[in-house]
Amino acid sequence: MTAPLSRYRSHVLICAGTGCVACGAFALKEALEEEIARRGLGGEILVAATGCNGFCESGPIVMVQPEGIFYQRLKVEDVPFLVEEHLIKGRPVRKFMYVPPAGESPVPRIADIGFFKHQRLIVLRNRGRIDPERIEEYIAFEGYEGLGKALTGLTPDGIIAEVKAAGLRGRGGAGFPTGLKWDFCRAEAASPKYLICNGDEGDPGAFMDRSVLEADPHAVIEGMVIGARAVGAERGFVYIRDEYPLAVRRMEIAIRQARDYGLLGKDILGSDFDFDLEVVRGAGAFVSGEETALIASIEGRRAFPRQRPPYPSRHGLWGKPTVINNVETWANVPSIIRRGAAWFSGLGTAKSKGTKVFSLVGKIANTGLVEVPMGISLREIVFDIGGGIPGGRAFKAVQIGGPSGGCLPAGLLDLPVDYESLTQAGTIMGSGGMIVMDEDTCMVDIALYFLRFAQEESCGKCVPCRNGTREMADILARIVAGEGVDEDLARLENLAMTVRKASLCGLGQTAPNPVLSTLRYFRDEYLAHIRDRACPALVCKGLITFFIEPEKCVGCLLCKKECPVEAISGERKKVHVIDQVACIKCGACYRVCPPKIRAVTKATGKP
Amino acid sequence: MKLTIDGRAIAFEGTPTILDLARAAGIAVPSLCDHPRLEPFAACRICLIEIVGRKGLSPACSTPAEDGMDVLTATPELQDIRRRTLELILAEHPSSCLICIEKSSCDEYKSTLHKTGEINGCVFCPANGRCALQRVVEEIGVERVPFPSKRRPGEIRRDDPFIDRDNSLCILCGRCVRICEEVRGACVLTFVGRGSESVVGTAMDRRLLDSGCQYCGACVDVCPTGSLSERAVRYERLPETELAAICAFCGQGCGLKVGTRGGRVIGAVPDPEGAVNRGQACVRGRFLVKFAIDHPDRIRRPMIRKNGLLEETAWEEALATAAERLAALGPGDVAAFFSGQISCEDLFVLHKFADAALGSGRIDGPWAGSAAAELKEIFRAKGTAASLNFRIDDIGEAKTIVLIGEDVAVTQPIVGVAINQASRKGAEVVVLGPESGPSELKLEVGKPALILFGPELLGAPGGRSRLKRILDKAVAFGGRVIAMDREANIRGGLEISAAFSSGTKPRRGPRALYIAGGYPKIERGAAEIVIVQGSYMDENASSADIVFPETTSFEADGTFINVEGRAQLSRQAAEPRAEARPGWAIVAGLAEKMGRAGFGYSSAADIREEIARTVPSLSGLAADEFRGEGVFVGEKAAPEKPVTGHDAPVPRGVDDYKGLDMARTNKSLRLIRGR
Repeated sequence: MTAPLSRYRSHVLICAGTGCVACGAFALKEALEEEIARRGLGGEILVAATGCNGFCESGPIVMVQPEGIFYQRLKVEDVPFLVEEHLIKGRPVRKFMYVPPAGESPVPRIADIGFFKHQRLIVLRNRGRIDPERIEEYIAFEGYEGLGKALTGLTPDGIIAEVKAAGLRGRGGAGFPTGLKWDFCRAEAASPKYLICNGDEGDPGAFMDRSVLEADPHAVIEGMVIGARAVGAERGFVYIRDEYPLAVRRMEIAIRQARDYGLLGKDILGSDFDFDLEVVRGAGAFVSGEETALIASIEGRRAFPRQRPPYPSRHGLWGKPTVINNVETWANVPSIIRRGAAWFSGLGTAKSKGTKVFSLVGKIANTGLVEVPMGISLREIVFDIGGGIPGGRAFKAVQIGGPSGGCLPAGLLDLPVDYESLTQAGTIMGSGGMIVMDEDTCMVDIALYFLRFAQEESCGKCVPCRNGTREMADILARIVAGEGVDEDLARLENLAMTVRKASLCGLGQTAPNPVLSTLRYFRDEYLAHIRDRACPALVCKGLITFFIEPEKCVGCLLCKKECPVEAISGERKKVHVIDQVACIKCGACYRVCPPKIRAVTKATGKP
Repeated sequence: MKLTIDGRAIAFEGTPTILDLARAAGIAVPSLCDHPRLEPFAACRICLIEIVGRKGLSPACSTPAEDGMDVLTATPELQDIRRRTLELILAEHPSSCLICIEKSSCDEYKSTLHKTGEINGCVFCPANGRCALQRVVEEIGVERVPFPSKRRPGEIRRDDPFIDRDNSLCILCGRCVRICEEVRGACVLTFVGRGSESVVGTAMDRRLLDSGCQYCGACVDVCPTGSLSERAVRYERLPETELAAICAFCGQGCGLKVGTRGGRVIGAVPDPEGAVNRGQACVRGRFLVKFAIDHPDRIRRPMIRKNGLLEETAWEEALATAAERLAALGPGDVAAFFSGQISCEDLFVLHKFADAALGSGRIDGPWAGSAAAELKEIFRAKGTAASLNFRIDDIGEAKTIVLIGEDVAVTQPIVGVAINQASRKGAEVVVLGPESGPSELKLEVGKPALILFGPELLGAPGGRSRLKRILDKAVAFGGRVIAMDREANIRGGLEISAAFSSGTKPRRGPRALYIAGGYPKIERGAAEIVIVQGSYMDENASSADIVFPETTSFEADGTFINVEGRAQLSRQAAEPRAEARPGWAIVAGLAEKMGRAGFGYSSAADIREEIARTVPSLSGLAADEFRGEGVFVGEKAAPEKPVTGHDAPVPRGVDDYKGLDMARTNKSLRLIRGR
């Protein structure tokens, strides 16, 4: 057992989310512990690993409490200096602090950093604060209080009423009211009933669920025990995709600890109520995240979705009534019960309550995980929290909702982020992936990327999704190759409507969204590809040429050496020339040409 | 309850699907992936319909009807989506013939070979004319496919017995995968790959042979296209006639539809209306009917041994010679051996002839010592009125099933289907070895068990006495014991033989042997003459003095009583090969030559009428037509005398039909059985 928290004068908290671990967080932790021990501070300073802090861009991240000093991008060799300066002499080290893209001076305290300042934490309230592998730390921050209240102060109907009143909606994508779902399941006569936590997060660029599972597994467990009490379930499953080994491990540890504390298993908190959980590792298919496919996967079958109705609340796992909610949804539940529906519904918009976690990625300064109140504008997320676009490029679009979502243009930056507004704008809330694109992104190319993803990840069961996405991708591939014709747009739209209306599950029904939304907001770009044979963003290889501007070229030979196909001829101090027939448009020359010369340029369109 | 479909009010009970209701009302809703024996799958999306007030479109096949629904099946939007979805299916299915404007006159003018390795159009396809996709294209009307054709890669797989698999024709409706799992419980076929790379295959892409396939052919029968086909009929055109026969290859009595064209048997498929099998079959019934009928070992003409050699001769001479030789013998001089695979009509006439005309010293058949006979004898000895009859459907509803010694997947595949059904509903299925006794039988009060046994148990040491103790225990726990014999007409033999006295006491050794319908090897001993009537040149026939060619069950009308006790009339499906005659007709001819009265039958129906009169337990056979569900053996007419006691002939293999060992003579079956 570690000593009680109060005995230490400082806590050094190292983010041990997957991002920071990949940047060397564990080596850093070891180095810190060694250095602190070497300096004889072992009894005064606690080094602890926490779950994902969210600011993944700047890993590995270290926070020193109680001051709340935020250090980023630390290396093992920085450790002795940091310990000497901050922990011994009490002088925070400015050079390891975060410097905002626009600002000059570093920001010492986490609370003052723009990325964190605008966030509102419910689901991620324990991030960077507790060690997810120690239940005591979760309990120390009001953990399992909600469960206590639910088991002793509320009836099952009371719990459901509270969740309904809070206005919590499914965070997995569709936004179905959670309380209603529980109510349906509770009303079913069949038994046993099951609960499932859907942690099969598969959208490209999304890592909200992973971070919650890694940083605060007990929040999910507590939410599920409360839910089990509400619907009358005895057994639950946490389905986590196998690509998340850390999340699987932490959840398994958390379940074990919760059992040891009597918070899972028989007679929970002496209330005569039994519920137990187990982890099921995903089988590695995107479609497993679809609820009926996920249920099939737990049953040991191929992850094929099946036609609904009947919904899982009536006919779910092994044909029994089942509530299946997303990780983030479950993690919201303890706070709602603990602090009350009124508090929760005070946040957000008329129909979308609470907060939403987004993973902010792409062409953005502050890549990371953010939790914001519903109704916040896209602009606030991208610029105030995300720090805008790096490299002085212009914002072009933000893709929300992964392969099922759509791309929103700059004109919609002031759109409030809630379920209804996003749907109206042609995208979906989805699980919360948010990919920011700058002016160097070709929207046709992006549509093709997402469609290929949907095509490859289609389970192959129903015709429209299996074959329709392929035909759409084929048309897009022709367009980006410069072989499109005007009718292709109508064909795309027709196919998109067929796939949307006729597909069996949500994956197929939403697969055309990236195409439809880009057609809606960036039609000009499609037309440029088709009519002008031009890619305005200079991305599509079939439509661009690389050439060397003679007046700028200094004859440095750099591009000539880099060219993998020897398409560049030229001698030292003489102008180089690209052989357009041999060129494979890999862009190597473009990348090596020194920025102050910029002789290699891209061009597109008819000459 | 009531709903409307396209404005028509339709009343319904229970929870039919909208597709069921629409079809019953004659409203055409096209579909591809649904099948009456299978759970809804909703994958082809062709049957999408609109329910007024409900968001989105719903597949009719998997949407249960609800009171007050207003269903539309043919709005312009639905027709449009249906056509576009079909176009997407056709993008990866060879469609040139489907959308050819000359297709109506193609048969008239095409001069290409039908036989081709790669199928690129309907006219080359094994499913041409019976293809569901062809039908749906016709219904929906597709004139062009607006996508480049994408043929699924890979060649036709021909490395399995009986079945060819051609993925390029597959529309991934999943019927084969589902029937293999849901109905047969074999789980051999599965979906492999993802997205547009999905195909139907086996685990690790092995042959069916190496994947546990029993070659029941159910996948071939449900395939809506030519993707799965029976190799032997690939290049055959559609049959002209399809006649319903009862399969005599085992004891279950499956209904088969035997297809013929120009008098030639093309093949057989299970009859969806078969009372026992409901569209299912096994490797024998599905793939070996033509093999058995057209086998080169068939006895084609009557034969007489002359100068040590069997020589073909005319019926007249053969019958006259046999009559002459038999007439010279006295009562008790003839021993008769009758097969358990021939019809009740044949058995009745044979018994009558042997008993009344010849005064045989011994009449024997495999029913003596059969599982049914042993069980019957135990019942008789106990004085209970228990019946041997049961329904295979009862097995499907059972909660606990114990199988002793029988490998039902091979010996009783339809019983196997019922067991799979029960198991899917949560029944407990226990498999015990043939040497198990009551102590291995774990039974619980309140959970009545259905205990199935067959020749394996009886053949093992102490089988008979163990059976008795097993029965005692089962009855004590409220269970039932069911006898499952393997030959087609054991129950018929049991009832008919009981109606005749067992003949005159034999003299020292029989002076003549009369063997009918295929029998395990019988030593000639001191017999002066051996007469065989059979279908194949087996070991008895080849050492006989006179041989009469007998029809197979598919070439004559005849009644068979299956393991359940269900009598079913098998119809003549093909013309007799060469000069073969039905068994009863041979005997009648012989009796006539011998001047015996009472054998003037003109058809099998005459004989049935006489059976119904003289054998009380078979009075149901009087009905002119007892097709459909068949009739069951009368429950009360237990024979007075013991039917067991003497050694039963050692049964031949499960794949033996009237002396034709199909597992040995058929290369494909040999591969399957030899695994």
